[in-house]
Amino acid sequence: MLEGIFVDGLIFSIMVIGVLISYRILDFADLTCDGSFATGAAVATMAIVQGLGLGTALLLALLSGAVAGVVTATIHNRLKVPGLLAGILTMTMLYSINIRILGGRANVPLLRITTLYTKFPEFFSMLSHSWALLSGTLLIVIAVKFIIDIFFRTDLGIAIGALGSNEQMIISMGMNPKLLKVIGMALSNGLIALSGGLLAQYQGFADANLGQGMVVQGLAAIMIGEFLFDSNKISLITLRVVFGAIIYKALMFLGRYYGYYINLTPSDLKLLTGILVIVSLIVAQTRNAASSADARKKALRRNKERREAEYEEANHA
Amino acid sequence: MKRMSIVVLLILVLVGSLFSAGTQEVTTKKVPVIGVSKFLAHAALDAVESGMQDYLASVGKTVTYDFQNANADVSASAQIAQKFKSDRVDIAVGIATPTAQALVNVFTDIPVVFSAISDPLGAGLVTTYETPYDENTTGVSDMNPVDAQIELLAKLTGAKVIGNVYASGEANGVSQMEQAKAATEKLGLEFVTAAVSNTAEVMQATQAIIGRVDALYIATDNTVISALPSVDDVASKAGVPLMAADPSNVEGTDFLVAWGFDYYKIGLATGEIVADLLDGKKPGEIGTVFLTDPADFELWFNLDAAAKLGITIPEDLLESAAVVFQDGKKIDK
Repeated sequence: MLEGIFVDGLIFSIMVIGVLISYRILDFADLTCDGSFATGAAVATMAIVQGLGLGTALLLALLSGAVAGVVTATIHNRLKVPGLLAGILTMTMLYSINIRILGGRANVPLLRITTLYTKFPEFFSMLSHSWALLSGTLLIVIAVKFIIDIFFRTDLGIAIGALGSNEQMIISMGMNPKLLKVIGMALSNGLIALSGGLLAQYQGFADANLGQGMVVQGLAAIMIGEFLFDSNKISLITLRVVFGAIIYKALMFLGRYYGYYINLTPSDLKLLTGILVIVSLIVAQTRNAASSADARKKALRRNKERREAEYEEANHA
Repeated sequence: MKRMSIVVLLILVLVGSLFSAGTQEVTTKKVPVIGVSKFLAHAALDAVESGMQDYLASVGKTVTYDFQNANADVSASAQIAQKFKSDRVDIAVGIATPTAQALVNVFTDIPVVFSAISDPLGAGLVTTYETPYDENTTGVSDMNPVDAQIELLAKLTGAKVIGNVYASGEANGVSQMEQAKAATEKLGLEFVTAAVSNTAEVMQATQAIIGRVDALYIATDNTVISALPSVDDVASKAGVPLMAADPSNVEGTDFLVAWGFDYYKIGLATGEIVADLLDGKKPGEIGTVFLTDPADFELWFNLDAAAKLGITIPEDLLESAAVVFQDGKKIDK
């Protein structure tokens, strides 16, 4: 239970932060994710199997994802095609590359090999197995979240954030939006691949089809996060993404667990994902509409007060 | 801030429900619970599932099943394994490679039974085929008799070049392709392959190689077998004999010969292992079961296709066939 929701959810949340950077911060509908997630898993697995060490494996996974992101952004920039298409192209190419990375096989096991997830219980020997895995994963997620929060407070990070809202402004500030997109996409897919590298170690194998449907799940988690609370602070945005990821995994887990009470079969879970996204969207939209109506009322009231004040001043004078 | 408190409340409720759920499971323990994690709903894999249930019912075992299905979503297999762990199932059964691997990764104490795995050693499910060993895994391999199949196809058709369409994204597709390649080399034949990544590509891949081959061999990879009608369409138009390693999908196509596992029997063998484990046998004593009895395989011929291709099937082979198609009719022998 603890592992099925929280460990799985935390690993997943790193990927969702990656998706958040492309979809929400850069406003770039990126489908590279389905490919780069599996690339990260494949690279980490092969590195571990070759005995390169766990840290190197994760670093290589991160870099491989970053390269995939750079490719997508470059296709988008140079060939002037929509981001969606650029992402699909990279994702398609990555399928072949992933199988190459896995040595021509579709599935490489990590069973009975030392991975991060066999190390955690040794490292946190005072904790039970599940809690040890949870603590290790939590540390990684906190580190990633912290680095991302800091990054988006630097000049570069703020510029990338501004790019998603207003590209024209970035150009008029004399910055190169193409370069910023490359950096943002590299970061986004790097995180996605890192998450893939962790998942491969957690579940004990890498598979060529691992990334299938990841984007949709990531979006679902982002939407659930946005449903939780409103904020435009980066630390709170990444926090709600982590919450969203865990809640998404929890809902899926509970769907498997208690689903049969309401005749929910495991094959209905994809439908559940879709409905979840739609419901979150509806709620977020109604809330948005309500808050903007509220804001308008407040603005009108402020205006009225100001006018009355001016009127009174004029009268006094 | 009001919203924050709602969030906190939500999380508390969630966590609370988890712990209460955890304690509920412990008390309900009488009938052994068998968790079955299937990669996707698929004719062959479903047959394994029902074979296993039928066997356990036939030997009078009362068990409770928990059927889970990853919907071909690889990342869901780990979650299913976690569910079984928190449910404290007594035996976990993994049908197809990714789900079985996820189970082996999670469980170190209770027995894990894998089923319908072509290459358990390559998939890391077992470390040896020699019994006894002290791991908690056992299961049934569905390794095709690829060598014998290729030999039969070459003998029937006199083919010099054998073609194969395989799914590059499936572990068993790749390993069977490699075996078929080795088998053709041994027989001094040429081997031409076409790789696909999904069912939609199968037609084109077959068209790409059909002009260069004398006969087509299709192994048991899920993707290609699911798209067998496309292969059949291309092959029959080009007049190339077609052999399938999985008889369960060939009905209605112009295949010449199908020879392979009856997946229901793999299910029966899986059920037998589960029954043995329930009787207290150790997984290491059972090991990996390979079905070698010819009765576990089925040989199907299509005499209409044979007549069209001008191929005569030897009498002795016809005798051993389980099913023969003649004049558009299916005759069970």
